[in-house]
Amino acid sequence: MRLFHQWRAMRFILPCVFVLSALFLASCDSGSSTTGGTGPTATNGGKGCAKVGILLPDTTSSPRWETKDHPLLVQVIKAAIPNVHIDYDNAQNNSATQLTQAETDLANGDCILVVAATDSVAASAIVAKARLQNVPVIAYDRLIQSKDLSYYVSFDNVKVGQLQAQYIASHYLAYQRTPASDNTGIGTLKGSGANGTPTPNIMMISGSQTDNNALLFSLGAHNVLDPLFAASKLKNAYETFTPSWDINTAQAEAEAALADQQNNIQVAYVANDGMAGGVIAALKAAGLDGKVLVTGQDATAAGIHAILMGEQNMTVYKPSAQEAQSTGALIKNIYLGLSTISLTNGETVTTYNGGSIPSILDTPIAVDSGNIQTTVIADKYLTKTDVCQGIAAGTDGVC
Amino acid sequence: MSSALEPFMRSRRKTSLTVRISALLIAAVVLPLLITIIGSELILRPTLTSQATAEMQDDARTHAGDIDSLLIARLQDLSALSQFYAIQQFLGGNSLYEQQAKAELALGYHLDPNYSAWTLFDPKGTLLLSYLTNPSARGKYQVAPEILAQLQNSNKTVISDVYFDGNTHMAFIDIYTSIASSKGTVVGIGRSTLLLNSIWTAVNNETNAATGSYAMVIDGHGVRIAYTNTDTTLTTEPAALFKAIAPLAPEFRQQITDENLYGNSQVPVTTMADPALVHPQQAAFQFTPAQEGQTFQAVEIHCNVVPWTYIVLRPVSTITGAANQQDIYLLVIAAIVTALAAAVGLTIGRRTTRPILRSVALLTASSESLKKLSAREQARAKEQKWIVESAQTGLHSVQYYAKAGGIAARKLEEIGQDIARNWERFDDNTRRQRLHEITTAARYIEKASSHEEHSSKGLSTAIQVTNQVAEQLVAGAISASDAATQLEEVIAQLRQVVGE
Repeated sequence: MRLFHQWRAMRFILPCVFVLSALFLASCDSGSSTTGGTGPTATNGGKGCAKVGILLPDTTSSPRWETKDHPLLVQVIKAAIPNVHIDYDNAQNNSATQLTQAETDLANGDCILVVAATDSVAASAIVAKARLQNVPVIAYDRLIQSKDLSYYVSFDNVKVGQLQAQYIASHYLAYQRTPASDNTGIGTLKGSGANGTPTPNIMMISGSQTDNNALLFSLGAHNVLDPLFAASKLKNAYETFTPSWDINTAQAEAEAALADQQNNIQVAYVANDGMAGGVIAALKAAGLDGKVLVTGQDATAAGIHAILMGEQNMTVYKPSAQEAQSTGALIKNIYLGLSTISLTNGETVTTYNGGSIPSILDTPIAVDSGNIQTTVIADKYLTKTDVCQGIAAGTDGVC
Repeated sequence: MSSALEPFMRSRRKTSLTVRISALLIAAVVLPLLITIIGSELILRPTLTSQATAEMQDDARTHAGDIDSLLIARLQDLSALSQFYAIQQFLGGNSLYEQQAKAELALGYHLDPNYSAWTLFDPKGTLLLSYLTNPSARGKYQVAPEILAQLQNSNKTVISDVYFDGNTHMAFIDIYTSIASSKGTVVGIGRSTLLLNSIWTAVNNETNAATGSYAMVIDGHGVRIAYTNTDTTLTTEPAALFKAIAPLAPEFRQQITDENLYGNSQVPVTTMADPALVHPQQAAFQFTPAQEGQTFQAVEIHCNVVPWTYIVLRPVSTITGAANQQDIYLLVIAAIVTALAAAVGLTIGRRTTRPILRSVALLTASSESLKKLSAREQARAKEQKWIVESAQTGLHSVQYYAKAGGIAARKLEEIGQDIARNWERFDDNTRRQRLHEITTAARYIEKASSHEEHSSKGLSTAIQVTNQVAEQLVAGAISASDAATQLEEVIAQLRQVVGE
């Protein structure tokens, strides 16, 4: 009886089961679903924008990104736009990550992007996506190779290389080592200058070849050094670019150069302070620390400390505050819908495909032991505490 | 029951309950699977195609983007290096800078492992300096005339068509830039020669995306400049490589010959027509490529830096393979569950119908006994009718003879009174005649009495038979009652089956 009762009930339930199970299976089959979400929202070219995205490249190529640029940019943007919401991301040296971060910012409604590109070519995708939403992109410190880039704020990077090279040109003679003065135990130096003194060798360790700035630094350096090379006053013994500005790679490159030249290196053109740290480590291992002219860039605490220690000779101070201020001024004008010509003064930088990008190029400053106090310390870019650890009091009038 | 439902009910009666339960269970499990298969055809296949297309678009977009990135970076290299002081001085005629200029060419050469040479030319295209070795001519020229013409303007960059070295099995392009002095005068031409190995590797690796998938790159002239190579040793080239997708214009054919584009001097460029690739209406489309025997889903993405098109192809059969596989699985599952459902339905049906069949048997027996009882009752009723008719006839006879006796008795009385009144007047003949009449009446009365007795006997017999029939009818009623009791039992059993 129960069975028959159940059977009668099944006659009503089964059709429902058919439909439900069919729907379930069909839904399982479809295998995809669309998720809700808002599509790109067109903005007014940044005018009235109250959400700004900051995308910085890494934490390894230079500490400046996190210790300087990040807080400075936040500060100037807050000053430029009242009640602004800021999204901040660091791509950790991964261009794909940076693109994803930019996409997230755009999806969240950020209407102005400030991007220090991890890869100047790959970041063009960020510009393309931002353009779809009429979001202006400001390339910060590193040019993005896109015709559609809105603005570029940086330092005059050719000038940076020139400052580094000019320092070398002005001081390399002091690092010429004669056999008598050579206490490395290596023996007679190779090469001969015009006056019979050995021609100093330089190793040039440039930045990442995927970073257009690195090429510009190198271009600026060569503009100054090439005449010395042509005149055999200085010999370009080793030159290379360093993927990702990697410190360990730079050290390995310096070690290779030293080995190749049997430690006969008098000058180390190093594109930034981070890599200079690696090069100094290689020089220390060869017993050449303090005996080789070493350049750098970014005026990092480690770089200034190395200068005070006599291990590094100079760095290029690009006041992040100045670069950030320029960026803040641009953002303010964009926010207010004002012309930016008064800020760029008609200056442009060209991209590979002929794009002419309105640019603010701030002037870098060469820093050595003689002007640390009047530049980075005076600007409170760094403090004595940052740079004087382990340094004898009174050194260079700084510590 | 309405007459409209009768044919349906009749047909249902022809199908056993067991079969109907099995059929319903089979339907319960098979119908969703069938719906799923239909859904697969209507939803899954288009979805799979759409997903594969999206995946292929991502793939093609990534690779086209990689090509753009690669070329932009290499343009950037050339652009920056060409501004180096030593290079500009050397091209300006200062031979003191030759060594450093060469060192800077070497620096450029090492920026990418796919550079095969960096070269400097004068504005007329005469080779001046090169690193690593002096490059071979491009057909009849060091620098093709149409490229040379473009480089007469400062800040101009040009990317050449594709060349192929049959000895090294490597394709390459030349990237040119005009080099100007600080005064803006073009003092020379810089050229980097870039092997397309990384692009070919990406194209070759397309086979990893899905079974049967491959890729190609078509240049702006419609020539396949990269094509997935199934020869893993890479010692032979794919048949379609450096074949045009449509006949080439005579002028360009001449240019190919003059500049030895695509390795034409070793393997002449021919046409392997693929009309679908010439002007596809959409970025994603289906077609049967030349040399292929099946339909492919194709996605093409145009590069931005060069007029190249990256095309990813995947067999439609591979894309819908999951749906086909699923259909097979579903059919197998359908077959298995059909068998299981049939078995379960059979079991349930049998367990359900067994008490019903038992009840039907009891009902059949009860029906038979009722039929027999009915026949007997019918016979007895006929007998009783006959007896009643006989009794009626007998009664009529008795009434007739009683009436006749009464008439005869009244006749005797009339005759007796007539004789008493007229005794003296009657003569002997009359008296004798009257006496004869009395005798005749008496005889008539006797005869009527005899007949009446006979009829009474018949009535008695009828009453006796009626009693017997009544007894039999009582027995029949008892039998009917028994049959009714049996039917009540059957009903009770059926209720056990179907419930209250």
